[in-house]
Amino acid sequence: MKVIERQASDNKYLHRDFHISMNMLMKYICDEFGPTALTEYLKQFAGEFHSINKECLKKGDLECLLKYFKNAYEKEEWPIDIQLCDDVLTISQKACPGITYLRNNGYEPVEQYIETYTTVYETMCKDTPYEYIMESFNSKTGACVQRFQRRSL
Amino acid sequence: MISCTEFIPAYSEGFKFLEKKGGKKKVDEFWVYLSDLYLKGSLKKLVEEHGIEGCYIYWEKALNEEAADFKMTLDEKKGEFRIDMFKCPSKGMLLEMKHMKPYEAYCEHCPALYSRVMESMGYEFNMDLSQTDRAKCNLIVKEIKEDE
Repeated sequence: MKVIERQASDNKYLHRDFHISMNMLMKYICDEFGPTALTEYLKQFAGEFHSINKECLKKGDLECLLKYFKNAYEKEEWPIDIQLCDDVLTISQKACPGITYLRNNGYEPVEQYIETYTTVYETMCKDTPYEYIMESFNSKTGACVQRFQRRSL
Repeated sequence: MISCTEFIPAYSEGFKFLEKKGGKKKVDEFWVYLSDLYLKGSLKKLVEEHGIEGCYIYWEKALNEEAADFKMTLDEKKGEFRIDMFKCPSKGMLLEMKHMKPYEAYCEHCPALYSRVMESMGYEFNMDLSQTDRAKCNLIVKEIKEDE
């Protein structure tokens, strides 16, 4: 007889296999309905999930987004360089945690994986004074430089 | 980036999206797809190698990584494996997120994914989802004895 009993506070919440399930969900949507549907889905997700961040951006509070990203990457235990300077938030990473985990476990990320950045954050910035710019993205590793900045007039 | 710590709301929205596109049938089809693709190399392989103990090995890793509040029991003599989930981390997270509404049939993905694998290997699989509004449930896997 084997018994194990745990409380939520006994462990850290970090189940990296969810990157695999996420990739499978995206692949399924692409295969069944085409790549446009994936964009549609990610817009729906971002519209709901990032509604609080969108409110921050509407108020011109980029500090709030800085906190969100720092917290998200800390939970993921993933190193990034993040700077907020002159109302511009810049995030640089040497690799993407999702792409890295997928490749390390023998899975190929969906071709449109970049959309989990671009579509998600462009949706978050829509109807706010800020715009999202993906300066560079390496589809093999997910190394990238991202910027949130005031829209130019 | 969609962090693995943000996957649950993305998953829930994914189910809503699929239902909008093709009805509940499409969601069910996705669960079959995911079960066949994802659990084949994990849960199924472990149960093929270790028998019912494979369930214990699989869920010990998953539930600890998901920081669940649970009790898991393997009674090899009885041929029974059981999880009593006191607070499911996934449903718990969805219930706590006040700015998002969980997919109504969210918890149904668990029996859909796991029963397919376990029943295909000759086990009896049951889940009680009657308390999922409080993020509670239980799961029981039983070996089917030949003399039964």
